Amino acid sequence: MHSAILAGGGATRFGGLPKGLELVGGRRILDRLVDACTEAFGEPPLLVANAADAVSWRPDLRVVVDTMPGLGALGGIYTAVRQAPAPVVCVAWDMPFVTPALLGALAEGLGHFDAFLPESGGRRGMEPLCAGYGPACRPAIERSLAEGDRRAIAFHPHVRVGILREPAVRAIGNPDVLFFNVNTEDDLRAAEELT
Amino acid sequence: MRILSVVGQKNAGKTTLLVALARDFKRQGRRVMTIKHATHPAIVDTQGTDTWRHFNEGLAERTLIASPEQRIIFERSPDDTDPETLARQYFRDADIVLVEGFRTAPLPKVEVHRKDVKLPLLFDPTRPNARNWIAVVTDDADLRTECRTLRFMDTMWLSLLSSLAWEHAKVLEP
Repeated sequence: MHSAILAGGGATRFGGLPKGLELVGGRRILDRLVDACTEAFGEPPLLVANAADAVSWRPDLRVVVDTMPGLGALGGIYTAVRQAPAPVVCVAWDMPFVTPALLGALAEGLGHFDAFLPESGGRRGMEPLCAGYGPACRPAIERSLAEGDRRAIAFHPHVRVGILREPAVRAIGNPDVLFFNVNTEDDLRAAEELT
Repeated sequence: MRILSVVGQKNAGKTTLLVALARDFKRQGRRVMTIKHATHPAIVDTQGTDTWRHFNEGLAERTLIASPEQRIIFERSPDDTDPETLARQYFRDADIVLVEGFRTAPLPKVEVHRKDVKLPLLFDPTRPNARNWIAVVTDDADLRTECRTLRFMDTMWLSLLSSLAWEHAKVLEP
C-alpha cells in the first residue's frame, strides 16, 4: 500500500500561499502528514505538487507534478493513482490532523473496494481527499476526465465504492478534528487551538 | 445471507430505488437476488401456451420453462409466505436479498419518499416498528424526520445508502 500527499490547488482562499508549509503545533502540516503516512505504511508518501520549488520542501520525498495539470482535485487523485501507484491512500496537504490509524483503516477498505472514502458527518459528508484508491480507478478517472467531468467523485459509478462509516471514523477520532482542513488564516488559528 | 426491504407509498419510486441498490451491490461483486411482493395473481404466462396448459390444465405442481438465457418456475403458493422463508427457500446462495413491498414484514427497511406523491412517510417514530427503518431516501430538501435521511441531491447518496443497507440488513443464518 502506498500513500500520496496532494499539494495541488491554487489555495485561492489562502492568498495563493502553500498551505501545507504552515505550522500547526510547531510542525509544518506537510511534515505532520509525512510522519502519519510513514508510520501507517512503513514508507514515505509520494508528494503530488505543481509548485516549482516543491522538491525543496522535503528533499527526501519523491515529487511528481500533476500528470494532467489544471484538473483540480480529480487530477491530483489521478496522478497519485498513476504514479504512487495505486493502491494508494491520498490525503490533501491542508489536513493537519489525519492519523496513521485513519490512513490504515482507509487502506484496509481497499481490500474490498476500488475507492474507499470516509464519512465525516460534516457539511461535506464524504472526504474524497482523504481516501483510498485502487488500480481500477485509473481507467474510470480517465473516462470521467475524457467526458469533462472533473468532480472528485465523477468516476464513482464505474468502480466499487465503499465508505468508512461515521461510527468507524469516530472510533478512530473526532471527525471534526481528523478532517479539519486549513483554508484560511482563521482556520490556521483554529487548528492551533485543536493541537 | 442478508435481507432488507424497500418500502414506500405507491409511485414513490420503490422499484427505481431497488434497481439502483441492486446494481450497486452487483458492482461490489455481491450476489443479489430480489423478491417482489404482489397482492394480485402474477400473470407471466398467457392462456394457451404450452407451459400455461401444463400448469393450468395438467395441474402440475410446478412447471419450469427452461431456456438458454433464463428459467421461470411456476409454483402454486398455498399461502402468502413471509419474505424470510421465501429467501431461505429460493435464495440460499445470495449475498443479499432485496425485497420490494412486504411493508408489514419485520425486516430492516429503506423507505423511498417523493415530494410529488404528496403522501406522508410510512415511517412513524411513535410505532414500535420504527427501529426497523434504516433510512429514508427522498427528493424533498425540506423533509425533516427522526429517521436517518438521505437526499438524492447529496453527493454519494447511493454509496452511503448501500453501505448503510449492507450494515443494517438482517443476517439470515442458513
